[in-house]
Amino acid sequence: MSRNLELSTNQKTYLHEGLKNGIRLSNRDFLKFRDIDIYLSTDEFGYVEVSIGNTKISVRVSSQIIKPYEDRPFEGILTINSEISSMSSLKFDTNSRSQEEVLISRIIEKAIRRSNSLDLENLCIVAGEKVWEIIVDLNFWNFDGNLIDIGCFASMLALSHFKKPDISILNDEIKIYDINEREPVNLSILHIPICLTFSFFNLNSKEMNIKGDEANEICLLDCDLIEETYRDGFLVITLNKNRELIQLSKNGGLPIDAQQLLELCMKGQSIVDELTNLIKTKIKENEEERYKSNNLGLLEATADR
Amino acid sequence: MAFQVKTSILSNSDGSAELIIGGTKVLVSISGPIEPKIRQELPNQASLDIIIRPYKGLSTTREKLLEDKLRQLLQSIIIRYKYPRQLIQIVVQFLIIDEIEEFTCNELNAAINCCYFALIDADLALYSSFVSVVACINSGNLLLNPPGDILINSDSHHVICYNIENQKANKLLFLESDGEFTEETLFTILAKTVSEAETLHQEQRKIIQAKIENDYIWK
Amino acid sequence: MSSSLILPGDNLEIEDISQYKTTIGPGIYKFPTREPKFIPTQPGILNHSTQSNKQLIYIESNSKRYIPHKNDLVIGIVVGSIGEFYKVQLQDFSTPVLLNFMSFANATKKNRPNLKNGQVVYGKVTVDSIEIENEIECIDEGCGVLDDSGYVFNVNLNFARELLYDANSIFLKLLANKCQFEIAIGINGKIWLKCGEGVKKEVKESENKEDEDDDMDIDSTNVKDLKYTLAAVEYLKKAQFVKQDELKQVLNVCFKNVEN
Repeated sequence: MSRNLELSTNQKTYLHEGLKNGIRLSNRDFLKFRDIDIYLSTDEFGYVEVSIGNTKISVRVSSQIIKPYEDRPFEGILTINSEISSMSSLKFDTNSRSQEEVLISRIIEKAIRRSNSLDLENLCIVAGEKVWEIIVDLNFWNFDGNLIDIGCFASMLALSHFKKPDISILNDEIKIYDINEREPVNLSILHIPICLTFSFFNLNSKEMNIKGDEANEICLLDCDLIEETYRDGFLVITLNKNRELIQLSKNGGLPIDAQQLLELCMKGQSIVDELTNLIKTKIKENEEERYKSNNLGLLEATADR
Repeated sequence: MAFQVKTSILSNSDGSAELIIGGTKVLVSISGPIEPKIRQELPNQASLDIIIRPYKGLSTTREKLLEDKLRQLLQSIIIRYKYPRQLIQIVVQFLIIDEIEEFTCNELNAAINCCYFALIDADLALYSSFVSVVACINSGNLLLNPPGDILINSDSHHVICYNIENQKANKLLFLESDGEFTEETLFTILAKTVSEAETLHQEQRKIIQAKIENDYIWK
Repeated sequence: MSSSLILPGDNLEIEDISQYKTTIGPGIYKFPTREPKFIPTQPGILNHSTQSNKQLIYIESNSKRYIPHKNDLVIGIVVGSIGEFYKVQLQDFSTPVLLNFMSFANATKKNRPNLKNGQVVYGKVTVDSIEIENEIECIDEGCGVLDDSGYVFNVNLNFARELLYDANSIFLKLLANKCQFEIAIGINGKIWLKCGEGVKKEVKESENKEDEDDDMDIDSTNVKDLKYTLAAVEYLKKAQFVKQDELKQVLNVCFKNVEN
């Protein structure tokens, strides 16, 4: 018995009537993200807290050294854990994973792991014996729609923020340096995939949706809880700044025009550029803050002694 | 300030609190009384569903044990007879920790104190207030709320939780000790932590006063 | 009348109940057997008043989870039916309460409202025992189905109490300056609000193009009312978190976009 969120037909009516007239319930543009708040830890590497509107998440990246897979002795391992707990919403049961949860996990995994956003060969220490395993833990704090986009964004932010300890290999021994002994090393991130979830609404009767000249589904980006509950279909597009399409996911739902698919990719590109720049800017700011607070300027060769 | 607390931070939970104590940061979300699953229903009391999630990786038996300890404590402090056949769901998420995996005392301590604020935020009926303290003996010296590196070298460490009645520590609700220590040491620790608990309770009062004022900011 | 902060476990100053006729309210728990008999169980402002030989003691606190009490006016969403009752949900994930098919004003077996899932009703709690299923009824005046031209949203319980019970409440008075509205407030934290005519579900478009001009007019008032309603909802949601002197500013900000 899974719990369901019950919303009234009043909210559905307002949502539909509003969309017919070009108004979103939250008064946003149709293709605009909510406000994004980012917290990057200054004490440790790989811990971030992100909130998009009321949807909140924290992501932690950690590393350990293990034996690689037998069929891939030259590659490190990237593991992404994205269990959704009941904290984010009571409709998610911690014990049994619903189809929705599995879909969210799979899309985030496809976007980050299977797209080779992280260079795994760079994580190899001793081929066939010791490699780095990078573990990404997503903890969803609050659910107000759109877990996929925030999950992917926060994970990439955390991976960009994370630094693994420096190591040195002498004969068969690997020495791992504490972060206070030697400066830790950034991960090698090949590209930053950003997921965009577009939700579709069919405001006319079912008969009118048969493709013709009257195709007018409404398309919204970054839905909140009410919009997500009443959407008729959704599409997840993952792009990166290099105008590459990483993955595409449309699992049933309202049929849309193929032309619209291309258009959404085009429109999504500028949003992806913005978000990628946001990640880079925040990481840079965090570096500068760390530099100042740890007085790293004194370590520079050109500093006054 | 010993605690840094933020309450009502999650819009989907009936009560939520984020607590930073020393190097430990924990987030607790509480919802209830809500409809339970049939197998969770108790005929004359509320049932508690406690979920603890570690700061990294997946839940293991280590978290199950912590859940059990927290359940022992919360079962006796929440007035469960007020909500028969209902469910109270508590989710504890550790975010930042400062002890090695073998130790759980700082995490348990933070979880207990954070649960107090989350229960207050959720407005659930409690028999009394409660406060938890960690004490460790390091080469004969008693240290309260020790950081992780000192904990490793300590002879013994203890998590002590008192209930607070009329602003005084009254009964011992929970005590967990690990390491080598004498009975005399234990009693000394209990005596010393009583005053620490009462001091912390005054801090709790200040934080809750500010929270209530915020709840009625529109008045 | 004294009021002060009280926490669970604090001492409760209460007069001897054998000498005073005592009424206890939310937040005070009476032990069935042991001494002291009464304890505070929730954090909040303690209100204690004594008059001649009567005393009233309760704790005023805020919460989000509603617990049904007799005679409370509530707004619920119909989620199903079982036997002769509708199942009505007063809050997400709470146990649903029961509404008898016949518990409507002037209802007969042949002539009773036929409610569908998702419809909203305004009713009064009649059975509030914690041991058995709770029930509501919609017989009083003003109770019954709330049509879907109004918007339903959630607020904190203490704010809902203020709006419903305080006749001099400033929030609705300020809102009346901006628009004409109809409101139904449930003590379970749900509010149904409609400005003007609210939202009319558009009738299936007919082939008749002659009515086009009329349609345009209806459309534009429809949109105007929709915008006003959404702005009013935003205002009430935000009003819970600001001081009273900032209220007018919040109101203006919310209605700024609509008044163009």
